[in-house]
Amino acid sequence: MKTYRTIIIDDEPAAIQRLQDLCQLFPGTFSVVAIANNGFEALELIRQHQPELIFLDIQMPEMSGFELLQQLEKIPLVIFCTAYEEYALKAFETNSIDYLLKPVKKERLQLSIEKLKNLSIEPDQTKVLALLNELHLQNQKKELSSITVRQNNRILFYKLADITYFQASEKYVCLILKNGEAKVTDKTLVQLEAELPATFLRIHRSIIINTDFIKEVQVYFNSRYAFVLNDQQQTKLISGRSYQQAIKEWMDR
Amino acid sequence: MKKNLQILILLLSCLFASPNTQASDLFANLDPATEKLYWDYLSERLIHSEKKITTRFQEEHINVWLQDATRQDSLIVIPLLEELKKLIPTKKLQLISGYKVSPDEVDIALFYPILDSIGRATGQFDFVSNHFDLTFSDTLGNKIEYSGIKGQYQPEIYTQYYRLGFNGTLSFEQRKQYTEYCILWSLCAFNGNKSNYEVDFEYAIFNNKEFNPENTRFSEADKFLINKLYSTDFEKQLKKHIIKNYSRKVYYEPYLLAIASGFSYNIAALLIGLILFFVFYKSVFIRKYYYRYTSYLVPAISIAFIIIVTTGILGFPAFIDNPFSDYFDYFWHLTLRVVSVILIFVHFLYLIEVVLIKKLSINKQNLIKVLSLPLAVIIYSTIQIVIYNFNIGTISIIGQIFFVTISVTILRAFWLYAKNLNQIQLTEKEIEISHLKELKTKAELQSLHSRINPHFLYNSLNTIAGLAKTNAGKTEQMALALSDLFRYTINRNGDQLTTIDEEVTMATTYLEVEKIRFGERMNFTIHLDEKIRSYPIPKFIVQPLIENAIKHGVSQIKGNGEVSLTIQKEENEIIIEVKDNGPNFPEGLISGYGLQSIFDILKLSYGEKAGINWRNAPDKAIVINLPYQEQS
Repeated sequence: MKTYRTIIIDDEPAAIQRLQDLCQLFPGTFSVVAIANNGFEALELIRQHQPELIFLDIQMPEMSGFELLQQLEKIPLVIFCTAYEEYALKAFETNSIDYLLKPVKKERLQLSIEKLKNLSIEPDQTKVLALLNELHLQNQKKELSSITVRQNNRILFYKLADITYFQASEKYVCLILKNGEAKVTDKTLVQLEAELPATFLRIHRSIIINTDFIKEVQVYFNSRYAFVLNDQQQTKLISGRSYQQAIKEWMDR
Repeated sequence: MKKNLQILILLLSCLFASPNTQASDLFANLDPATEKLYWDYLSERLIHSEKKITTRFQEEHINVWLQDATRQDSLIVIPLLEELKKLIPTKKLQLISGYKVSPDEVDIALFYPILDSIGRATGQFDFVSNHFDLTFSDTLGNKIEYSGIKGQYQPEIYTQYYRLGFNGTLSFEQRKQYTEYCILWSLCAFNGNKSNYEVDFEYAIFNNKEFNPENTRFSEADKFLINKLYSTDFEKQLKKHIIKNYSRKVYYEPYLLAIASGFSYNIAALLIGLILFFVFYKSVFIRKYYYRYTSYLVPAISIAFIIIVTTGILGFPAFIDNPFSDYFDYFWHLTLRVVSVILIFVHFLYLIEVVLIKKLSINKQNLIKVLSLPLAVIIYSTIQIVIYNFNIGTISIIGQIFFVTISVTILRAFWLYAKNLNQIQLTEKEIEISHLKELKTKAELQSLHSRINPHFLYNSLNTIAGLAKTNAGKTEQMALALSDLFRYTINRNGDQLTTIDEEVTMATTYLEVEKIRFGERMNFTIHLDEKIRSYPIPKFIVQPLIENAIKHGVSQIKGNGEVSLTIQKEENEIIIEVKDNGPNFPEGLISGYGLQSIFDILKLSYGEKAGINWRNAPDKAIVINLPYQEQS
């Protein structure tokens, strides 16, 4: 029975304490050589101690668990410990990296140990990294649901679900709500296009529409499209010629 | 030279002025009493008390024509005409003789036929009908036949025809009297409606209506009458006389009465029409019918009823002097006509609007509905014109039809609009209500979703598990705090209001839990204005700010995190400020429902009076301000 040199990495002291207590129940498997409170500490300690296994929390300040792994030259065996079940992928389990949900139970840890015992091959680092990257990106793209607009020393909040389209005029960009009201935002269309979720599609040099409000798409002349929206005014928007390709791609999805 | 010119102008003006001045001077020297008498004489005979029409020859000329007259008769007529010329300077009086005269040229025609033994005329009347209105004859076989139209209550006198059948039994004097009488009688019409005359000039020609040439002469009073009747300012002079000798009231009264009598019927008709309309408005016009057919038929019949009643009232004055059966006839025909027209119309409309246009869109249907009635009116009018033949009069009728069509279109459009307005408003309200319900449910769900923060729960429970063995005290504290927090957030029943005190307590509890989780890494401070502890504020606006401060603020930095909560009152506002030393607030797009739901709650509770603002480093803070109202 191999004993793994282990480092516990978590920003919450109580969580570290818990894991330490659990590890002490399995002294033949885990030998805790160091603990780290954040990503930077962890980097140093890993380089220093060269552990074979790390317990890693994902949600950590300034450097997340994923970011830490990307920084490592050599990735040890990783057991994730986190409250966020969104990051759990079956793929991890098949890749012999485990994923423990907090609060960690002794029985669940036991299962992990069983896995470790049955491990025959070194985990493919590149694969791991790739998976991690994807997860990381997924995680980064938090669901943006509102947009803020400054007005008279106040901040107004508008749900993206209530916005039918954004339109740029000479001086500024407006967001148009489904009841027809228009509000000015200081973001540019370029910025918005980059940040808005996929339901928003740019159809014209000066228009980004919320595809959830599309009622009809009609073919218009000159390689353009007419979009009829499901708002109070049944607004009709004409796309720009240079966006024909993008619109087609969107429609094919 | 100048002086000569002046004299010339003076002479010329005299020439032109004289005829008029002569005429108006004719009776200028009358004493007032006599003048009044003569005026009364005139008005009693010529003026109708209500219908102020003066009947006289309207043309510029008064042409007297004699056919087959003897030289004697001409000698009678000529001096009379000279006399009349003085009295009537404004008309051209002349005697026409000769055969080739057309009826238009003649105003007074005297025809002298030769009578046979039984007094029948043997000569021919050239151009007049053989219909005679009046015949006067005496025992000796002399006959006078009269035909002519002096429009009663009309201003014109048309050609007056006399067939004077004199046999040899009349003296010159008698012939003169008869001839003069006829000519003079032609000049005016007895329109006066007084039954007894107060002024009586026994020997005057116009004294009474009876044909009495032998005992009457052309008296001063008659001359006055003729002169005044044919003056250009007759009405003015008459008015002057009445006002001077009686009063203004006497003069104006008949006018007012005329207006009033006509007016009153019009007003009555209008009022009754309007009253009926309003009575029927809700019960007949606007209401919903079970069958569409009845929704056309019943209002149509009500409209027919209103039209019949108002037109009946409007037409009544014309029948005042007539027997009731005449009016009944009129009314009956009116009813038949109106009802049949309206029924035809309404079935026509029904056919078009219900049967034929079922498949069209609502807008097109409404358009057709607005146009169908005027179309019906135009078709109906065209049929009428065709039946009654097109002539000059129909142009004015077309104008009337146009007017009627336009008003009918507008009225119908208004009717449809009013009818639909109720419907539209109801539907809009329903839509609004269901929309609001939907929003409420959505909001509740979202709120619930953001309330229970599962990660917070798992993390906290993990902390408890971790501390259980080493720190019983903190474990207990944490477990109890968690139960408080979740009771607070999950309890969705009833009031959405809480006091500042309670909200701060919850925020503190939360902060304590997080402090246990993060240990020394996190510190917090709370400043609360004591005076406003019990002031009511909406739930779930403070605690989410704190949560944000930790989740997006403190937990993102590796050093020590500082959170502060300050609630104070400034003037008539409550300021809630949460500061932390974490990363800046994002501008523009944000994730999570926390801030959005705070914004929504504030908008719902306070409208525009509350607001959120934030500022970033160096003094990162998020601020809520809401209005403060004194509690009684």
